[in-house]
Amino acid sequence: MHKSHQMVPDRRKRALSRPGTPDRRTHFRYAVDFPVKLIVGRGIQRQEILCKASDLSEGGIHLAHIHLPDGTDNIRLKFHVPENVLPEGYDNHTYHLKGTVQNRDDPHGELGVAFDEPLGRRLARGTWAVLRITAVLLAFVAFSLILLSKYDNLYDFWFDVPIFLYSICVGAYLLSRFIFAGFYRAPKPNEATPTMTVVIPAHNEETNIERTIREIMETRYPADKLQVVVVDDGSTDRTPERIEAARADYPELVSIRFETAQGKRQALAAGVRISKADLLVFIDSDSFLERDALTHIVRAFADPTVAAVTGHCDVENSHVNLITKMQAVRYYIGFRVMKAAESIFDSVTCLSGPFAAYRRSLVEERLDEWLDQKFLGIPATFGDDRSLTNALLRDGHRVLYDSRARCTTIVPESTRQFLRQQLRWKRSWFRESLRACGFMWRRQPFMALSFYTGFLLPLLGPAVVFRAMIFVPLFRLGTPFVYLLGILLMSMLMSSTYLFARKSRLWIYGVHFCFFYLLILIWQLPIAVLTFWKPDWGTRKGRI
Amino acid sequence: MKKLFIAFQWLVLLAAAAGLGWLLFRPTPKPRHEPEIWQHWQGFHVLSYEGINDSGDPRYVSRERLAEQLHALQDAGWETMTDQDALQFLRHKHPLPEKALLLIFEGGRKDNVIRATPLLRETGLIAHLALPTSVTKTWGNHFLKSNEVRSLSKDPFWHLISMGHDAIQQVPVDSEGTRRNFLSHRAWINGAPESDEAYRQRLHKDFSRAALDLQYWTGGIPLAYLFPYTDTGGSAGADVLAASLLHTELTRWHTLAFTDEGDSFNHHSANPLRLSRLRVRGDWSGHDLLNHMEAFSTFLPKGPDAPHPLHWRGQGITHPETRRLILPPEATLSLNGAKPWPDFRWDFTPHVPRGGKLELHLRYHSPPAHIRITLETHRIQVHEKNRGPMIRLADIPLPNPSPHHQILLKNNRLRIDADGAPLLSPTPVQVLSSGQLFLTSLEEPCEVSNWKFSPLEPLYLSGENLSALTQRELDHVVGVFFPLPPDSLSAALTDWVKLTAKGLHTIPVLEAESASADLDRLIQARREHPALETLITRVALPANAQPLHQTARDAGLKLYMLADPDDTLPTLGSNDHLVFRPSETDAFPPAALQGPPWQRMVEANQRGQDWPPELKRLQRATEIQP
Repeated sequence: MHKSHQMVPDRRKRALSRPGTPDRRTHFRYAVDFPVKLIVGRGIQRQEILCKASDLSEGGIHLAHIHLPDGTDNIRLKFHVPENVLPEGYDNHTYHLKGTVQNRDDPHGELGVAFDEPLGRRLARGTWAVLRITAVLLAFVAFSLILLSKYDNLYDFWFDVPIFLYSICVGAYLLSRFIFAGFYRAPKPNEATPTMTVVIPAHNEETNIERTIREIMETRYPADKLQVVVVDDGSTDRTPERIEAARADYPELVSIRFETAQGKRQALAAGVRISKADLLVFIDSDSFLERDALTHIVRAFADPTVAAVTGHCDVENSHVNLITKMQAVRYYIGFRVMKAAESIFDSVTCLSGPFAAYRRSLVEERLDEWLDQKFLGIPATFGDDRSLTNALLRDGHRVLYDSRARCTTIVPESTRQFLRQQLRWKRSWFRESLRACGFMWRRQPFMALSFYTGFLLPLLGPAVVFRAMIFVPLFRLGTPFVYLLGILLMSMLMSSTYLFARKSRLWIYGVHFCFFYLLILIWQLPIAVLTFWKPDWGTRKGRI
Repeated sequence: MKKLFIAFQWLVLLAAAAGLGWLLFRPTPKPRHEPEIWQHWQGFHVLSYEGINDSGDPRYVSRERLAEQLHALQDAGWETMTDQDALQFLRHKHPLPEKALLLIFEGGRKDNVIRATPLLRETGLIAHLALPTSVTKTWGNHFLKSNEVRSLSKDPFWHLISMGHDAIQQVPVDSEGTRRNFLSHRAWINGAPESDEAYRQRLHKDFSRAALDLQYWTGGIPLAYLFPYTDTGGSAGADVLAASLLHTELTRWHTLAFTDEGDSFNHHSANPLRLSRLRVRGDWSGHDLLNHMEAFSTFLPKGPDAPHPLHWRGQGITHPETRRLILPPEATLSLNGAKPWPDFRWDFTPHVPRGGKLELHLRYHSPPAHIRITLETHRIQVHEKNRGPMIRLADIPLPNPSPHHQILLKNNRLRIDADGAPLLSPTPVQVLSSGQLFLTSLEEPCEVSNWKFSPLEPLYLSGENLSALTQRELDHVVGVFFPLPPDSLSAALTDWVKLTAKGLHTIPVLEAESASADLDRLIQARREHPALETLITRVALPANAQPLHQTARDAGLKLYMLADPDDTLPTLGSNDHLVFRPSETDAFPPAALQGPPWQRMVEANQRGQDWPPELKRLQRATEIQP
C-alpha cells in the first residue's frame, strides 16, 4: 500500500532501449516480495520449501532465499499475489502452478522458474472466465432493470411529467453511452511512424517528473522520430534537478525552463513553438506511458482527416484509498465508455490532458487564439484540454479516441484535493460546454443530441436530487427508494463493465463513486456554474 | 460509408421526433360520458378494485388483468357513470345508459391511479378513487399524497369518494383490547365504552376531517362515501343506537354511500345510502367478470304486455313451460329478475330425495346477509344471517314429503304455508332489503315444480274498520292506511298489533282539517305509551301540509304524503313517501309525473282491473323517494 505524499514506486522492470540492456519483454515483469511455497517430489518424497518471490512476470518467477535439492527441475508452486502487486486482474489471487527450473544460483539461494502455463492463460481459463460471466450477468440484469424502470416511467409519466421526463432522458442518455461504446473500434494498426514532439509541462512535480520522462524515453517508438521536450513552468521545488537527472541518461531530452510560472498553456505553447514534427503529444508531468502508447496513438493519423487523438488513461495509484479506488473505475468508464461513444461520431469533446496527440499544423494555427482565450472578458487559465479540443471541433475536424494508447496518471488521494480538482473540472466543463453549444449542432446528429442532452441533464441534476432526496421525503413523506435504486442500477452497469474489462476487485467501487457523486460531487455543479470564471489551478497547488 | 451513417442518424432522429410530437400533441383523450343520450331506468352496476399489482393475491388484479377486464367491459358496451349521475338517477331525475357502470378503486393506493389511468384513457371509462384521507400522511410511496390528490381531482377520468379519515382503523372495544371497526363500534376508553356523545363526536370528527381535507384539496366535498369493511353497524347484535348515530353523521356529509359488497347491481329504487358493489377478483378473466355482472342484473317490464323477464341462471335444468327445475347435486340456480322485489310470494313444490337438501336463499345480497330455508324430506329449517352469526329461526317437521310450499316474505315478516296450512307463522326477520333468490341442491339431485314468483307491489289498503279486513285482502298489500281514532288511541291498539304481526305497516291518516291537532295527539301518545312508539312509526299527512311534515320527521315518524293529481309536488325528505289518490276516472299517473319511474305503478294500476272487486278500492303508493 502506498502512503500519500510519497512517490509511487515503479516496480515494473522495463527493458530499456539503450545499448547494453536486454531486449524489450513482451509481458509485464514486476519486482515483488511475498512468500512462495515450493512443492517438490511426491508421496513420501514430497517436500515443501518456503521461500520468497523477488521478481514475477507473466511467464515466470524469480525466487530468493531458497535451497532446492539437486536434480529437481519440475516443481509446483503455490503463492498468493497481494493487492496492487501486479496489474489488475492478476493481483489478489492465489496461484497453484507447475514450473520448470530455468536457472539456479545456489550460493546466493536464488532460483529462476518458468511457469508451464503463463499466468494470463491460467487465469483466463478459470477466474477471469467466472468474473467475466458474472460481469455479463450483472450488466444484463442492470441493463434490463433500467429498461424496465424506464418502461415503468412511461406509465408514471403523466403523473409527474418533469421528473419522469428527466428520468427517461437520463436513462436513455446513459444507456446510449454503453450502446455506442459497444460499437467502438480502435484505429487499425499500420506501420506509420510520423515524427512527433512530446511536450511535458511541469510545475513543482519533483516526485514524478523523472519517471514520466523515463517512461516516455523507453516507449517503443523509433528514437529518431521522437523529440521529447519538458517545460519547467517556474517550479520552486526540485523539479529542475530531477529533469537534469533524467537528462543525464537521456541527453536528447530538450528542457525549457520558465523562471516564473506562466501557466500550463504557455508551457505547452513553448514546446509547440520549437517543434518541427508532424505530431504533437501533450503529456502531464504525472502521467506514465505504456511502452506501446506512442505507437498506438499515431495510428489514427494515417487518415489525413483526423486532427487529434486522445489516449486511454488509467489511474496509477488506484489502490491507495477509497478516493483513488473510486477514481480508478470512474476513469475507465470515462474513457472506455464515454470517450469511445463520442469517438464513433468523430467528436471526442475533451482530448485528455494526461495523454493526447495533435497534428502540429492545426495546433499552430490556433495557438494564439488558444493562448489569448477569454470568456466574458476573463482570461481562461484552466480547461486547456477542453479549450483546444473545442477549437478543433468548431472547425469541423475529426477528434478520436484510441483505447490501446494507454497511460496511467496520478490522481488526488486526499478528499480535499479531489474535491478541488473536481470543482475545477466542472468549471472548465461548464465554460467550454457553453462555448461548444454554439457549434455542436453542426456535428453528426447523434453527437449533437448527445452533447446537448449531456450538457442539460447534469445542470438539472442538483434540482432533481434535491427533490428526490430532501423535498419529497420531508414534505411529501415519500421515499427516495426508487431514485436510489436507479442510481444503484446505473452504478452496477458501470461497475460490471469495469469488472468485465479488468477482472479486478476494484469493480465494486463504481457503486461507491456513483453515490459519492450523488451525495457530494453533484452539489459542486451550482457552485461551479456560479464561479466558473475563477482562475483556480485546483489540484496544481500543493502537489503530492 | 460515413455519409450513410450520418443519413441513418438523421432518419432515426426524425422518426423519434415524429413519435415525440405525436405523443405530445395528440388530442387529449376525453372520457366517454354522454348523459344527454341516456334513456334507461333499470339501474347500474358498481365494481370496485382493491389494488393493482402482481402479487398474485386474488384480491388484487394485475395490470394485464385489469386491461383485459376493462376492455371486456368496453367491448360489451358498458358505459361508466359518475357518482353525480347515480344520485340523479336514484332521485329519479335523470336516466342512465342501458349498461351503466360505476367503477371504484378503493383505498387511495397510488398503484391504482398509476396503473389504471392509461387504461381509462384508452377505454374512455371514468373511475372513482375512494380515499381514506389519513393515508396521505403516511410515509412512503404506497399511497397518494395531498398534492397528488389535488392533481387527480383535475383529471376528467377520476372522481373522488371519501373513505373517512381514520375509518379504516380499528379501535379497542373491551377491556381485553379486542379491536373492531372504527366506525361501527364504540371505543373502550377509560375503562368503559364511549358514551353516545363521545362516539358521535368521534364520528363527526372523522367524517368532517375527511370531507374538509378533500374540500381543501379538490374544491368540493365528495358526494359519496365508501364504508371500509362494508360495516355500517347494522349487523345482528350490533349497537342499534350507534348505527343510528353513524347513519345520522353520514347523512350530514354525504348523499351517497357504498355500504354493501357482493352484489354489483343497484336498481332504481335502491337506497342511495345503501348501495352495493362487487369487488372484482384478480383471477377473473374479462369473460368471468361479465358473467358475474350478468348474474346480478335484472330487468323491469318494458310494457304492460311484456312477460316478466324472470329467468334462471346456473347449473340446473329449467323447463319454463312446465315450471319445473332440475338441480344436479351441488348445483345452484339463481332467479334473475327477482332482485328489485323485497316483498314477494314464492310458490313451489320441492322434491328432495332422502339424504339430500334443497336450500332456498331469499333476499340474498351478500354472503353475510340473507335468509336461508333448508328443505329435507321431512323437515324444514329457517336461518337468517345479518352480518353476524347465523341464527336459526325455525326447525319444523313436515307433515308429509313434498308439500306445496308458499313462502310469503313481506316487510319484516316471513310466513310459510305447506299445502295451504300454516307451517311458520309470520316471523320477524332482520334482513329487510331486497336481494337475489337462489336455489342450491346439496348431496343429492333435487327438483322443484309448480314454481311461481309473485312480487308484491307496494300496495296499501285503506279502511276504517281494521278488524273487518279479510286475510285475502291483507295478503295482497304491504300496509294499511286508516283514519286516526278520534279519541283514545289505545282502543285501536289490538288491531294494530295484529296487523303488525302479519307484517303489515299500519299508517294513521291525518286529514287536513285536523291534521295539526291529530299529529300533536299522536306524538304525545307515542311518548306516553312505549308500545305505540314501536307500533306507529309512520304517518300519512296531506302533501300540502308542509309545516307538519318536519314536525312528523322530528318525531321520528316516516312520512307518507297524500297527494291528489292536481297538487303541486311537495319537497320530499330523504325517507318520505309520496302517495297518490287518483279517482277511477282520472288519468293516471298525473301528467306532471309521467315517465319511466312510474311504469310499475301504471302497470299495477292496470292490473287492478283484473283483481277481485273488493281490491279496487286500493290506494296505490310508490316507493319513490327524493
